[in-house]
Amino acid sequence: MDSKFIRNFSIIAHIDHGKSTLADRILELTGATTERERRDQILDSNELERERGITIKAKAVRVFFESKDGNTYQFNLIDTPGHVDFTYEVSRSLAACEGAVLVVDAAQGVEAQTIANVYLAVENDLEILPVVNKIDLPSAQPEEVIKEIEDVIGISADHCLKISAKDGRGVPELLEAIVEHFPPPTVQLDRPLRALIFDSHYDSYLGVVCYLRILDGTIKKGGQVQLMSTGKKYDVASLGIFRPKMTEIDRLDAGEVGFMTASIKDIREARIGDTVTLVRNGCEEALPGYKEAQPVVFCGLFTIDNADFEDLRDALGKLQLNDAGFVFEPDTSAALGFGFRCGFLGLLHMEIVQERLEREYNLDLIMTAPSVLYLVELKDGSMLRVDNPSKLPKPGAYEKIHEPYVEVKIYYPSEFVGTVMELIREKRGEYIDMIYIGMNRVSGTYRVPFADIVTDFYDKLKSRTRGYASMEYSFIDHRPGNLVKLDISVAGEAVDALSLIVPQEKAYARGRDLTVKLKEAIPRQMFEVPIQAMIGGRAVARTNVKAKRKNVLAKCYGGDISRKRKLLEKQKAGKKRMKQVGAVEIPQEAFMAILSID
Amino acid sequence: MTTPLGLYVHIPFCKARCHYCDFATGIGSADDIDAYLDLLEEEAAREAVNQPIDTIFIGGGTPSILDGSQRTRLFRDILGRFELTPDAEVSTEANPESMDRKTAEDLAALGVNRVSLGGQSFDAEELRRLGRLHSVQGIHDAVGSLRAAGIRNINLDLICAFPGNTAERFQRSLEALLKLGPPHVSVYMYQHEDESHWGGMDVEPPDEDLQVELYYQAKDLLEGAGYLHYEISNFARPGHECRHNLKYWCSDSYLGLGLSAVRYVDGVRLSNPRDMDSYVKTAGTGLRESTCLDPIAREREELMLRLRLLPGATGAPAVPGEALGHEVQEVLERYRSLGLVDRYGSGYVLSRRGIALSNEVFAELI
Repeated sequence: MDSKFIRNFSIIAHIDHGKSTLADRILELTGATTERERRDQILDSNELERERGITIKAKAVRVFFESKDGNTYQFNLIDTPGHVDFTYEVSRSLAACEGAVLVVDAAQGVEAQTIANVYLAVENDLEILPVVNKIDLPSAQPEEVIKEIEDVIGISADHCLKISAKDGRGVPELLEAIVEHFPPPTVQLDRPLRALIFDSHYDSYLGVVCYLRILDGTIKKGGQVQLMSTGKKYDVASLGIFRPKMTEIDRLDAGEVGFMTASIKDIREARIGDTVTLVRNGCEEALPGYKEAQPVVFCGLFTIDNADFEDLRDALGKLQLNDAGFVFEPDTSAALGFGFRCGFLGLLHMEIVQERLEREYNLDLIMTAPSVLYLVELKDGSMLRVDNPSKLPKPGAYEKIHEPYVEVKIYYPSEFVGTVMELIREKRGEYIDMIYIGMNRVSGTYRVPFADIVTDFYDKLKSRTRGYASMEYSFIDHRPGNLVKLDISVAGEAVDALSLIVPQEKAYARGRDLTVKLKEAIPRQMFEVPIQAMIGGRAVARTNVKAKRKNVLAKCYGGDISRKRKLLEKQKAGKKRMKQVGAVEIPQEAFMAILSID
Repeated sequence: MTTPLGLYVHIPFCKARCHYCDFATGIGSADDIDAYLDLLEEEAAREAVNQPIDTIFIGGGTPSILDGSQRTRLFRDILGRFELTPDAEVSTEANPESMDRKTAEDLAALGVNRVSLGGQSFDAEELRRLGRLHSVQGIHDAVGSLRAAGIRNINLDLICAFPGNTAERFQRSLEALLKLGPPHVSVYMYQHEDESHWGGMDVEPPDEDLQVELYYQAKDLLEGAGYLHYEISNFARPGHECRHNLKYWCSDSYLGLGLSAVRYVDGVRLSNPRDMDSYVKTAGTGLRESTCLDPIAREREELMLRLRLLPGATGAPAVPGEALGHEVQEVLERYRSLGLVDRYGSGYVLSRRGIALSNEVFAELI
């Protein structure tokens, strides 16, 4: 097809503003799916994604649209992940497009991710077509929201469409607008192949399926290609497009979007952002913007039953097949035994992996509290990466600890300016600037240590702004901090998995609060259990879990035995969900206690 | 000669439901009771065996809710189908408000030789709060009536650690009970049941420590007065242990008639339904939910039940059989090192502290 009839675009939106519903409606109107075939939100194929209403993996669907101008257009709709943890993946998906449909909820207005996504789109030189969605809602205020879009994004209201993806209103007009406003790809067929891998997934039959946007040249089935970041060579086993079912074709030309399989076994070999070129007559320069995904949040994973260790290793390996952002390595804890230290792209990413492990692999796990990556400056000037507080060298063995900082953008009603500032201060953050969006909303920018974001920052922000605030963050740098390690001992035994790195000035208060929380989280045992918080080997706080005294069935007569059995079996199962640390049984909640202290 | 069996009969009717109760019982009219007796009769006709019966226990509910003719029916047409040994223990539960002189004499005439009275408390205010229909004086009167009718083997139930119960109030109840001097006492620690009246309300029982302290308060006072603490919730003067209940804890065989009743013969448990509609449908057929544990599971259960019996009790101690192997032995030894069980003779018994924590041990035995 002549590239002037091609439109490559994404839909970008804040979570729940209707991105997936709009994608469904577009597929339906262009005949890619019939009503009968249609499941709601086709692009969110993973069950977990559906439940959480988020899209983790991007997919590209090709549809054909017959415009009023009499021409048939090829639309490549590229779905983007909708969460801040996957910013890099979003940016690569956007790099495969010429345009982005910006969806804003007519009742909610502009939110944190609306803006964050707009910035990404602008960085990638995309045309932006704003639409106000959910005009069917009684609470819709499309005119106000258009005004917000104008103020914040600086796009003229003339272009802004009012639609309801739910009932289909305005969507045919949107399709025409896509033809009119988004530029066709600029192509140079005679140049050497350059294709962007903007996403990938692992298929147990095909190996890694790479999603490609062809920038220059042509890729053909059977050809020999090379990945520029690794230099590895592959034979193209198949090429195709999603309509939305996988459909094989023989070639993809510049300007087009599709998939490639090449017997690639490891998803880490086909990295998002990498450039595919030909082995012979390849291009000189890779596409700009390639980065390796870096984990920023870390936690330990241990099986409750040590015998399940190998099962956990298998499960992590399987998850990693489809998740290039997830890393893990064996780890040993004196308290918890053998396990793994895992790295994630963010908190949501961590939660998703943990849930999948429990749901799909049926493993009873202990997950330690999330930690950030500290850079520890040693006496000889070298930097040690510490992603596990228990691995921090002894005081005196290092000069300084540097901790990561993020820039947080928060969008919220202006009445909460004081409240949010208070939270920022509690979290050791500082104000950078603030702008007003329309009459009653502000966008504040703050600098906050990331360690204080991974605890309960978002929950607190939500509750203190009655759910109205939204936020996104990006990494700035590591800065030296006055930090110390807080250790916890339970029944006289140090529990390394409960250690944490805290600011010196808050260490005593944290120690006190944590011992209180642990006392609540650890159930009474057969004996009294002292819990101590220690800094540099010196106890700073102590609580006691009193010995358990009562667990008895007063009555157990003939008719009761079967019922009582059930009760006892339930108790037994409950014990199995706790980790035996020394003589004490510790439940999962205890390891998360630090998330609920200030 | 065959070993005699026990026989349990359930009368699932009460005048009112007590606030702590989640048993299979309801409020029934005279017609409801008659219809229910018809079903019991059908069941009895089917269950009557050639084996003699040496203990009968009529429980509820409130069996004393039956009027004279219903009582006669129960004993003549239903229990009469079974062959009793000459020294059989025939117990019935009763509430003080339905135990007048006439009733007591009737029961004695029908062969009842043991009565378990639901006293629960000797504090007027507490009785009201528990939803009991009788007064403190009512307990005294009921005991007097039974004794006058010649029934001296009496049990009194007390409940402790229910919402609002305190050490002082409980002490007064215990002292009043000791004055009455029944040869058998059951002390039940309040169990917060979701299905009870209180379970559905925002009612807090006393904290764990106080609950246990009240229980040991009863243990110490009753043992001091010469009672043998022979099972977790039961105390008896020597020779007055409830022989029927001992069968449950010794895993002896027994039959069961009525709603929610259970038959356990040679390791096979057959359970009647717990709801009346299902019971009505199945009473005539004999079709019941059956549980047949494998030999190891059965031995473990028997061990668990026998561990409820305390030092000195008939049937104690619990002796793990060869077949159970090291695992059970290790569990028991581990709890011995934690102070929850003691060695006793050739087996094990719960320690003083272990009684109130017995589920810790039981959960690992089953």
